[in-house]
Order: sequence, then C-alpha cells, then structure tokens
Amino acid sequence: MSSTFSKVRGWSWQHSPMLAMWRAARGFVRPNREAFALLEEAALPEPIHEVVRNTIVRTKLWRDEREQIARELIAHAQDAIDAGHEPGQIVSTFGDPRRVARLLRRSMKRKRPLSWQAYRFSRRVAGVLLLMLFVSYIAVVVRFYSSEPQIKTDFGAILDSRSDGFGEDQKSWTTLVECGVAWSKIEHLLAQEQAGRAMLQTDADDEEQDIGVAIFPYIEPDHPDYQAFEDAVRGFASYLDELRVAAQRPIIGLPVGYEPIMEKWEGRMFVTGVVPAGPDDYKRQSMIDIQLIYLGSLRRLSQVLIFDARLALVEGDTERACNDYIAVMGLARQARSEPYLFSELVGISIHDMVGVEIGRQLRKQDGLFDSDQLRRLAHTQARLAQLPIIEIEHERMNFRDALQRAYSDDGHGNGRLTPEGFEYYGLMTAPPDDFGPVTMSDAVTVDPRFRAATLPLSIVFSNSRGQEQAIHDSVMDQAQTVLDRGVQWISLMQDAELIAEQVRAEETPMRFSFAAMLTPAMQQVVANWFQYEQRVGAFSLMIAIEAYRQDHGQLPDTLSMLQPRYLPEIPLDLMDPARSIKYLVEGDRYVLYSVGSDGDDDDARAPEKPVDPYLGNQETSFDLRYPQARSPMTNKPIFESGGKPMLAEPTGPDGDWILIDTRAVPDSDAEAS
Amino acid sequence: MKLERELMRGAGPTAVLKLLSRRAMYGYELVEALAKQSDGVLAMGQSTLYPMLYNLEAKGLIEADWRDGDNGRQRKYYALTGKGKTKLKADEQAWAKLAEAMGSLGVLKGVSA
Repeated sequence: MSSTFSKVRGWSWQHSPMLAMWRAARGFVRPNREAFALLEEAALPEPIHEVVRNTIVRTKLWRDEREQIARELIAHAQDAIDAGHEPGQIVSTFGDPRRVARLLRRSMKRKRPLSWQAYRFSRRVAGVLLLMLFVSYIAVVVRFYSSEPQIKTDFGAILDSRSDGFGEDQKSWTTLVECGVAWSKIEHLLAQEQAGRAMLQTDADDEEQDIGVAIFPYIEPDHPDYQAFEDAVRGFASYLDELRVAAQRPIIGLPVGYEPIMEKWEGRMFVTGVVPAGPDDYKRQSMIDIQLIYLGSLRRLSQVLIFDARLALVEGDTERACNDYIAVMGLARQARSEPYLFSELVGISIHDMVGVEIGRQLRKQDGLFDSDQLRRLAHTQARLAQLPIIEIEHERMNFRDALQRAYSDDGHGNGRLTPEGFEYYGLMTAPPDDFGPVTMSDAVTVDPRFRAATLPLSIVFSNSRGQEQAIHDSVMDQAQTVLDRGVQWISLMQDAELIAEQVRAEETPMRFSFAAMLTPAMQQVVANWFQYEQRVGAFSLMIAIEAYRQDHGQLPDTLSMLQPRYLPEIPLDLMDPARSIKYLVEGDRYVLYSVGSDGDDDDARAPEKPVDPYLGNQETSFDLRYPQARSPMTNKPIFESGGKPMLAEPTGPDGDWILIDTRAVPDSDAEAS
Repeated sequence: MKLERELMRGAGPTAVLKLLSRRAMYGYELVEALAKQSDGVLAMGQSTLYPMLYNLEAKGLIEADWRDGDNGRQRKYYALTGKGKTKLKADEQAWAKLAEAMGSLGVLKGVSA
C-alpha cells in the first residue's frame, strides 16, 4: 500500500507543472554544463568526444536531458572501445550528429511530463487556430477589397421627376437658400454680440440651442434680448417679403445631389449656399444629405415669420400677421410635400408651431382677424390638411439607394458591405446639416493602416444587404399597415419598434448597420402622425368657428352649423372614430376636445395629471386607447375572423384630450416652451 | 543485408522487446546482440537504438535504471515492464500471422500455412 502510494506520489512529482517549469527554466542557463563535465571526465578519444559533444549541443533539450544523453552515449562509446572498436569505426557507426540529435530530441520530448505535453498540445492547437484565423482573415480581406457597389437605379432621377412640369419660378429653393444663409449670418452675429446668453448660437451645444429654440420666437418685450431680436427681424424685412412669395409656390424643387458651398465669413467656415447637381453629382451624394441641408433653416425661418407676426400684431397690422401665418403654413406644406420622411416631420412640426401660435393670439384678442383674413387662413389650412399621409415609399427608396451605394450586388437582392460603403457610412454620419457655421464633429483619429487592416472584419460582423433590407422592410411594412388601416392598429408598431431597437442595440464599431442608422423610430413617427392629424382637424375647426363668429356675431351652437360654408367636413375624433371632434361652448368661449384614451366623454375635463393640450402625452397616446389583445400563451396578436385586431377595453386615465381651449386667456407665453 | 528503414521501424521495437524479455540489457549490449543474433539484419547504430529506447520508455513498455556494470562503470539498463510484456506477446502473435501469411504467399521460403 505504501509502495503504491509512493509510486503515485513519485509519478505526480515527475509530471507536476512546477517541476517541468523548473527543468525548462534551467535549460536557459548553461544548458550543457553537466553534459560537458561528464564528457571531460570520460576523456574519450577526440573524434568520439567531438561527435558526442556536437550531438548533445544540437539536441537543444533541457539541461538534465542533455546530461542523461551524455551519460548514455559516453557509456556506449566506452563499451565499444572496451570491445576493441577503433574510434573511427565508432564514429562512422554513430551517424550524422545533426540527424541523431533530431531523433533524440523527438524521442526525449515524448518522455517529458504530462503537463508539458499538454502545454505543447495546446500551443499547437493555438498555432493551428491562429493559422486558420489568419487564412480566414486574408480571405475576408480579399473578399472585402474586391467588392464594389453598383448603382443600378437612379433614385435621384425618380425623385427629381416630381419637379417635372414646374418652372423655376414655381420652385422656392433659391429663395429658401438665400434667406436661410442670410438669417444664419444674422444669428451668428447675434450670438457673438450676446455671447453670454447665446440663445441663438447655432453651433452652441444642444442644451443652449434647445433654450434658444424654446425662447425664440416666444420672447416677450421685457426680455433683455427682445430689442436685439426685433432689430434683427426688422432688418430682415426684405427677405421676409421674398419668403412670403416663395412660400406660396408649389414645391421646393431642389434637385437631388447638390454640392454645399463653403466660404470663410467672419473668421470661420460657413455653408453659404448650394450648387445644384449635375448628373454625376448624384453619384457622390447621399439622398439623405441632399435634403437635410435646408430643413433646419425652414424651421428657423418659420420662427422668424412668427416673431414678425407678433411685431405686426403689436403694431395693429393684422394683415401682415395673417400673411406671415399663411407663409409659415406654406413652408409647412412645401416641407411636407418633399419626398423625405424627415422633411415631412419638419413640415408637421412647423404646421403645429403656427397652429399653436394662431390659437394663442385668437385667445388673446377676440375678432383679431376679419372675415377675409380668416377665409384665407382657412383656405391655406385646408390646402395643407388635404395632403396625403406620410409617404413611406419615399423612405424605402432612400434606404434602397443607401444600400446600393454601400453594398455589392449579387443580382438577387443580396450583397456585402464594400470599402466604398464604409466611406459612405461615415459620410452619412457627419453631413453639413444646415446653413451657417460649419460644425466639425470630434472625429476619432484612427491610424489609416489600422483601419484598413480591421475594416474588412466588418463584413464578418455586419449584416448582408438582404438582411439589412429585410429589417428595414419589416419596420416599414408594419408602419404602412398602421397608416393605411387606421389608428386602432397602432399597437402593431410595438413589434416594429422592437426590431428597430434590437438592431440599434447591436450596432458596434465593427458592426455597421444602415438599418440601425437610417430606420426612423417609426412607432413615434406613426403616433405623431395620428396626433398631428387630430390637431390639424381641431385647427381647421378653430379657424372655421372664428370665421362663423365674424359673420354671425356669435359662436355656432353645434359644429354641424359650420357645414358646408366654413368647413366641408367635420373632422372625426380619432379616439371615438364614429363621431366628430367634441365641441363645448361656455358663454363666448369654446373648447375642442377628444374623448381621450378612456373612450368616454367627460365634458372637456382634462385628466388630473396635466396634459399638454397640443402635443398630447402618455395619457393621450393611442396605444392606451387601442391596446392590442394578445394571447397570454404565445404573446401573439389575436385577430378577429375579419382580420381586425381584437381590442381590449380602453384603459386610459379618466378625462378628455383637450385640443383647443379658449376659456383661459394666456397671460404668458411660457406654456409654449 | 540491412533492412529498409520502414521494415526496421516495424521490426526493431519488437526485436528489442524480445531481447529485453530475457534479461535487462544496456545500450551497447543491445546493439551487439541485435547484430549478432540477427546475423546483421537487425543491426542498428546509436542513432536508431537510443531514440527507439526512449520511445519505448515513453510508452511505458520498458523502464531504465543506472547500475554498476562488470567493469565498474555505470550503465543504463533497460528492462521490460508488465505493459511491455503484454505488448511483446501481442507483437509475437502478429508477427507469426504475418509470417504465416507471407509463407502462404511464397514470400517466406520454408514457411507455409
């Protein structure tokens, strides 16, 4: 028993990693010391001595292994000499020391401890894996750098065809660019003069810019910056004249594929205009970039017009104020008519902005506008309200264009990311997005050699073209379904948003996804659209009611009295689709409201928790009113036999969604922010 | 006549195991015994013998220890282990069958099925 234990203990010691490490480490310091000492001691004849010595040195084994071999070879040689063999004969039968050393090394290594064998095996495995990785990497590099995108469809030409039939005098883009650049310069000077406040500093950080947007144009005369803004807007009067005319034109009409003009002005680089595209320019530009450049200034010019309307009302010039409002609605219509989702969203936002402002001024002063002015406002509003719902097809086109510029094409709708695609990806993340000072992003400096070496790996981690297209399609298909079928399908967007969120979450520095970058938050877009649709209906009603009051000296008793002279159709309550928007009269004041997400009429009583009367919020969101019934087992939507979603009972808070409330006269514009 | 390398690679270890099955032997002794008893057919130099011995030792078929020899010098003696005996038995059976098969084919003169 003790013998067995002793053997096991001896075996364990011989094979222990510690001993192996010690033996290996000793080999680095005078590895032949013992072996040479033995050789010297043996005093073998010179030829044999040399052969054994060479062999030992060439084995490159551990120190104790060389000693073992030396002892054995010396003993062998001495036995041969004792047997009467000549040194020359012994050397000739010994063989080539190099070959002998190699054979001895191999066989001796097989005797080494298990821990060393395991280490050698793992090292070999790691080596093989590294080799395979290297070969795979080379294959990926070749694959990446040999692929190139093919622009097969000229989506730019398709989009430009919307301008067919319109002359240059029917397009507004030249005026928009001229006014946008002029106002951006004024803003820049204002920001420099008022460096401490920096309310309109377009290159300020986001927070400062938000503050600026919130305050202007709702700034009050007692504000320290009011006079500066008033002077600036009055100095801008000639541009506003041009803008009012341009806003009535049918389209913006900037051809796809512009080139921004950058010039040094007031000590820094400024985007001071655009050069319309030629056919070749289109190939160098993202369609997304193309239209974004004037969107910021569209919104800002609308704010300037609204501020000018305020100045006009202070002066009693209601005609100029009316024309300013009509111009803003014209800009909203033009933005909404552009085939870009972002442009449509900006148009919606501008329309909301002017609706809120007109409502605020009407509440401040009864009979503000005469019948003719109200008629013109109603006409412009009707023109805007008749625009179709958001066109997702154009968004799909934009995305397909992005993919064809970035991915190779196998002819079956699939392909992989290309070097040009990567450059394009970077271009899209940092476009010049507005007129005015050029803001350079804080680009991370990466060694171009490192980037060239690591970039091909992106095709390993990134989706294929087909996968990217499928992700975008799935989100857009859901959005299209909801927009086509109606607000009660809103909860279908939850699935779409989950897909989009997942894709965005998976985007990494090595994993590029055009779907993650370019797929809009469609759940929000669709919800915003329906909220906007509801507010537009209320806005149309408000103007019609004011026109009726001008003509009859009193408010209509019911909304149906507005038909057909003041409004062809009474807008429906999206929360109660079988009925119109609700109307409540209290003396000479009125309220327009929706039944809200709880689905019942509370006589224009808002929920206890304050609800934004114009923008809506969680309490008025549609998915509370139209939750989609889901199977608790599968979490899949449950549909009726006719394909309609089976809806659960309304679950929203008790109260109504107030759209227009003229009962309380605003004493401050703070609510606007 | 010497065997080709491939034949030696197959026959050498079995021959060594067989010699060691009789008694423990040291390297030079093995070289001499192999040359003499096989009439030079299985003669091998140090370059072949010692790597072979180390391989057999690594496989646990033989074990070695240093002892004092007749002339007073130390020699490394190799002896068969239990595992080595089993292996030798299996090899002998395999070689017998091989010889029988080669005999039946007429490759080996005087040996027939």
